[in-house]
Amino acid sequence: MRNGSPLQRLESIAAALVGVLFFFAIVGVFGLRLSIAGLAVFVLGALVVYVAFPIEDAES
Amino acid sequence: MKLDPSILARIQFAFTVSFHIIFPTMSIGLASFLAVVEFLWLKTKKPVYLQIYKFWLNIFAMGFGIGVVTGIVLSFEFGLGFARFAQMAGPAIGPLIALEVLTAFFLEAGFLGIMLFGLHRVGPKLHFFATCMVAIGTLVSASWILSANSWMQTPAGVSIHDGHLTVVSWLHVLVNPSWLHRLPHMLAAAYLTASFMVAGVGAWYLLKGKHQQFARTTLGLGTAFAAVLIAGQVFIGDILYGTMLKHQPSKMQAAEGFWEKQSQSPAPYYWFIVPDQDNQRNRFELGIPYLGSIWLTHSLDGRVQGLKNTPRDLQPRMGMVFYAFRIMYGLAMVMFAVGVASLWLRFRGKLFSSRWFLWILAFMTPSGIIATLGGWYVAETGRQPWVIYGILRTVDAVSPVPARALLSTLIAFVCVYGVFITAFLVFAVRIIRRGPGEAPPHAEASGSLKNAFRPYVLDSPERLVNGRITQRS
Amino acid sequence: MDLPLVSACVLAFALTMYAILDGFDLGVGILLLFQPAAASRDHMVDSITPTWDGNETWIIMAGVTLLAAFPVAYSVLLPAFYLPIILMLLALGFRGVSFEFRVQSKQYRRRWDVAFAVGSLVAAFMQGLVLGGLMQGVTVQNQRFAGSVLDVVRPLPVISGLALAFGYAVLGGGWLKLKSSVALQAFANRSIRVSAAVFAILFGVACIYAVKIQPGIRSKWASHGIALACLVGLFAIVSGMLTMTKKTRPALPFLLGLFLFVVGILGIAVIVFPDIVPFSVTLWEAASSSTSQTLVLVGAAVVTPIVLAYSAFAYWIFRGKTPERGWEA
Repeated sequence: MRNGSPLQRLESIAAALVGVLFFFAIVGVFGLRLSIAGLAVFVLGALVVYVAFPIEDAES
Repeated sequence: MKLDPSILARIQFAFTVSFHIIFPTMSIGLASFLAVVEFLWLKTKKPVYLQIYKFWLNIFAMGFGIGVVTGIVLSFEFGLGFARFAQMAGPAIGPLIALEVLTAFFLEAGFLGIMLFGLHRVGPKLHFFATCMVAIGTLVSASWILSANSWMQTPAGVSIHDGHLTVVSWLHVLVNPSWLHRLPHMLAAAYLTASFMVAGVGAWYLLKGKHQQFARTTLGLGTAFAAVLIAGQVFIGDILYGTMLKHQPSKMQAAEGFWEKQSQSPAPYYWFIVPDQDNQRNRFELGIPYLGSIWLTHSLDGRVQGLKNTPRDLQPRMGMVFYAFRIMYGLAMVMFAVGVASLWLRFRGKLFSSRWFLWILAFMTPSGIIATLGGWYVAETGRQPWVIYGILRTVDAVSPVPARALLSTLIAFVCVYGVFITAFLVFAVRIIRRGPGEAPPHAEASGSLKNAFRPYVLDSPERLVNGRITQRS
Repeated sequence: MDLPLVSACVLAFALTMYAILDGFDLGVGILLLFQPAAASRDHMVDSITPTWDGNETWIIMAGVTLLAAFPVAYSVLLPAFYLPIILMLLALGFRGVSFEFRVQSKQYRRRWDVAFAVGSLVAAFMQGLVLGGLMQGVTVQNQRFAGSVLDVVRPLPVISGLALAFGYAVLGGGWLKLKSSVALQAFANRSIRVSAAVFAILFGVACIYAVKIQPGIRSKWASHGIALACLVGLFAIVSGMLTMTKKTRPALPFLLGLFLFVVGILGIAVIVFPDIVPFSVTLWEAASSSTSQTLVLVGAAVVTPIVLAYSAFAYWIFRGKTPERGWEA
């Protein structure tokens, strides 16, 4: 975030807003179905990130 | 000075149980973390995993020991401070705790010795089995005790005849209305605690530029688990909220800081209040507009039920419940944000190079413990004035022990436990400062855990020059 | 089936297991006070380190069985022995954490050793105090404790406390003889001899005094005189054998010590039965309903064999002499 270009900063802010949206969904603001769906998508998304973007030096 | 035995008994129990819960929370999380790490070591044979195992085994062992001895205290404290409660609830929760001892405590204890000291006495597979047994033991233990406590919150399956409880359905006692939601909530709390602990220490090492491989691996593992866990935790937390709203409305009314039977519309979400229980109002309140209706009623203009819906003599203390809840929930939101950030940074390939993030992780090292304590304070102070909700009041449950005895033993507990936590923190910090895989500056002594400082790859028949570690048989 | 009776057996079993297993743990701790050499002290603690946790778990089992099966007795006895139980818990706490903390610091190890030893001694003494207090009798009214928390500060409980400490020292010495290196054998033998002698004397004094002050015990001697006399005789013979411990077979003194405790517990059982709060509340008066008893009994019947099996396995893993340089992790 320190040295990011304006585009990267925008992307980070967008990611943060998506995160907030997920939070609201998971705590049930939009109903139970979207809460479950939100949780499922979040977890699956996380798993995809873990597999597709291994941590630096690929030490895992 | 006239001291009230029931207040002293409550303070004593609150102190000992708060102190105790810190350690099983860590132990449940770390035990499973150790099992995962040992599995990774067995599978990949990479030395870093053994290094991680031995490092955290040290801290785990200390915490587990304190957890055991402070837990023994609790199993007797029911009777010591709250004999009437013990007499009444014994038939219901006694067998549950007996089964906890039989199926969990013995399991952990039986295999702990092998886990801590048997690395060179048993083969790696049996040792891994021992680690798993300890991890499973902690999980099973949590299940039973959560059932017992949930029964106190939402009693079921019993009939009452002049002060004596008879269990009519064990299924309903065990699977009482709140257990199945509170159990995953507590387990997730424990696993989150461990995740943030290992990630935080890893982050600290990265900030100092030390133990790079160790730090990256633990930070990677910690944040990976944390992100998934916090999402699940927030989900189950909301479900649990609904359950408790139904079965213990007074608790949730106190938790949100509203007094009026129907709050204003739209309702704010309070973050700071100065409650005045005697006058049934807040002297000061500060919150985010609209958010109360959004989060609590899932609409833009819903009204929230306030504490005046509960008769005055049945109201819990709003101040305690409110702030305990805010601490827990506030930390949950921060954890969620950290989880999202960790995913984003992974995606960008900047997980280890973003110093601001590393600092946040380092600060968040004890966050799981604080959040768990907050949650338990909601649970226990929110249940007041009941000790068995709807059946027995706390003030009627106290032992016939004079106030002076209660006070002197309370002071004794504070002093002794103070020594325990000080020693734990001093040694844990020392272990962290020394880092993984480094020999201690002072000389040997009886092996025990000290040898854990040395990274030792089991497969290679390594022998130290002074012949201290022999070849495994 | 008489459920309270079976539950009482489970309770007695748990207490016996505790007394034997944690008995030698605490005994080793007490003997630390008499061992000046630091390396030897380390060796002594090493001998009990891998298995102490499981040993101590039996007291939780006993307490929780009491809560589940005899809640009236639990709610009477715990306030009655409020002070000794809390002191015991704190002492056990110090001892337990000392295992982990003493190895973290060379500088303070001596202090943790003292904490370990004193914790063991206090815990043993408090347990004996409770035992003596039980024999002395507890004031009960309407199934509630009606006495004073200081009732235990009287001769019989105090003598019992000292006696039990020495009794545990016998077990501890026996364990050391079995598990420790050559260097400690003489120390172990001496510990057994001295402790057995003192234990026997104090036990005898306590028995006589108990008969003097507790009419309930007198009447038990009257009705079960022969059985009790046999047990006392056995006790005398075995403790006599222990006072003559020399370089005999390594396991013998430990086994004799275990036998000694079993004899003692049997004697106590003969005296206390059919009460659970001796001389005040019977097993059946204190019992919870059959649904609660049944669950505990079924659980105990099914799980205890498994517990014993893997506990024995854990002991087997750490069989033989304790390594002189400790446990290489």
